[in-house]
Amino acid sequence: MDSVPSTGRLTGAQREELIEQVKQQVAIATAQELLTKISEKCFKKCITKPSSSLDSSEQKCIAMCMDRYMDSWNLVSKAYSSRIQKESMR
Amino acid sequence: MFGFGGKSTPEPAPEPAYSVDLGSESSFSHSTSSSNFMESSSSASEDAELQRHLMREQQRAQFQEQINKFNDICWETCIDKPSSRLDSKTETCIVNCVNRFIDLNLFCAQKFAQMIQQNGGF
Repeated sequence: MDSVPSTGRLTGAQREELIEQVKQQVAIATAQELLTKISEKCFKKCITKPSSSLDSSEQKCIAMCMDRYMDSWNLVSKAYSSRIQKESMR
Repeated sequence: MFGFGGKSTPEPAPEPAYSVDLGSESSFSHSTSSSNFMESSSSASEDAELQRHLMREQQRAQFQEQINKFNDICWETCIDKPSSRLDSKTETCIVNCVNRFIDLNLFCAQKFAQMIQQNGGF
C-alpha cells in the first residue's frame, strides 16, 4: 500500500485498495477453510482402507466427493439465504 | 446468533458474495460488489462509507462461516456415499437439515435462557 499522506487520511484510491485487500483476505481464508474441510470429509468417505497408494477408484471417489461437497455448499447457501430473508420479513 | 430474531428489527439479508463455479477447471469464482468512491470533501462521510464497506465484508465473512458450519453438519447427515450428482432426496434432506438446525439452535437458546433463569445462574 502507498504511504499514508501526512494528514493521516486515506485517499479514495487507498480506501478502495483497503476494501479490495479485505475482500481478498476473506476469500483466501474461506478457500483455505473449505479445502481443509473437503479433504477431511472426502478422506472419511473414500479412503476406508488406506493402502500404499491412491488407486483409481479412490481417486474417482475423491473427485466426485469434492464436486458433491460443492453442490451441497451451494444448496446450503441458497437455503440459508432464503431462511434469513423469511425471518427478516416476520 | 444467526442475525435474526423473532421480534427484533429485520436485518438486511446478506447476499451470497461467492458463487462456486465448478465448471471444467473447478474454479472458485466470486462476484464482487462495485465500489463507487466519490472524492468528496467531507472526510466524515468517507469514513462512514469505509465503515459500511468493511462491515459489509465482515457480514459476508460471517455468512460464509455459517455456510461452512451447516455444510459440515448436513453433509454428514445427508450424504452416505458420494455419487455422480445430488439426487432430489438428498437435496431435500440438505435444505431440511439447514432449516431444522436453525430451529434447533433457536429452541436451545430459548430453553437455555429459561434454565439459567430457573437455576439463578450457575
